[in-house]
Amino acid sequence: MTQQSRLRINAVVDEIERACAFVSINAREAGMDDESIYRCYLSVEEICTNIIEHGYHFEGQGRLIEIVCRRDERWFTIIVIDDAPAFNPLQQEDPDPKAPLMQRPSGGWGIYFVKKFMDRIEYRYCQQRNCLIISKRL
Amino acid sequence: MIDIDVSRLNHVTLVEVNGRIDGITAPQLGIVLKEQLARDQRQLVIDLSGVEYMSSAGLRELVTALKVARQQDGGDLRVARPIERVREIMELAGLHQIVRIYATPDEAIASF
Repeated sequence: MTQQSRLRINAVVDEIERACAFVSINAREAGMDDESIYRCYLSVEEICTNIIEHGYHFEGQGRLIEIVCRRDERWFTIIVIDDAPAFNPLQQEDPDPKAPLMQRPSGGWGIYFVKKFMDRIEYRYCQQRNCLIISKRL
Repeated sequence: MIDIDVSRLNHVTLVEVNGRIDGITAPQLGIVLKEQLARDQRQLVIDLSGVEYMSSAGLRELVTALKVARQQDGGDLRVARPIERVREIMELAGLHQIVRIYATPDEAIASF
């Protein structure tokens, strides 16, 4: 059986913690341990920050980010949906952890951490909305 | 929530951080580090023992400050006692190969 819950937040930085808390509650209800909940929490912070910063250029007041938590017997899945211009973060080159200090950008690690912390990550663009789908095994 | 205390021990500036370094609070840390470096406080130790959470937003501020510090003669930013989760974030980004990490703030201060 699949269970699902949904939250919409304004696409502003101050709302990110609400999205993270929502995901934490759902992850705990799915039976995840503290470490896995932390990894989901951080992943959602990184994804929402990316959308607000790069998708909406910090002008997302009045725009929405939708977070869907879905769980079945095997997977806990988080879907983060926005209507910023189409952007597939998975097509971006990963930053290089071996790059010397002065050759590396200061930022750009968010999606890299999500890839490391989650078991599955997928991007879809449908109905003019970006959907980033991340999952962790239960 | 984040608390940042700054103190001076001889020529080294100790920045003690408590709380969470996320997308909301990281800019506060960035401002403090930038201010210290602008005042020619080029030898910085950041005590992260009170930080229970750090996302890439915190990492960005550390790297930015580290770059500025190392561009000054004798300047550096060194880290003391990050908890396991914070250390993991630094390691994933390869920062542990670049920044010197110490078990205690005293060791980090004495290293300058």
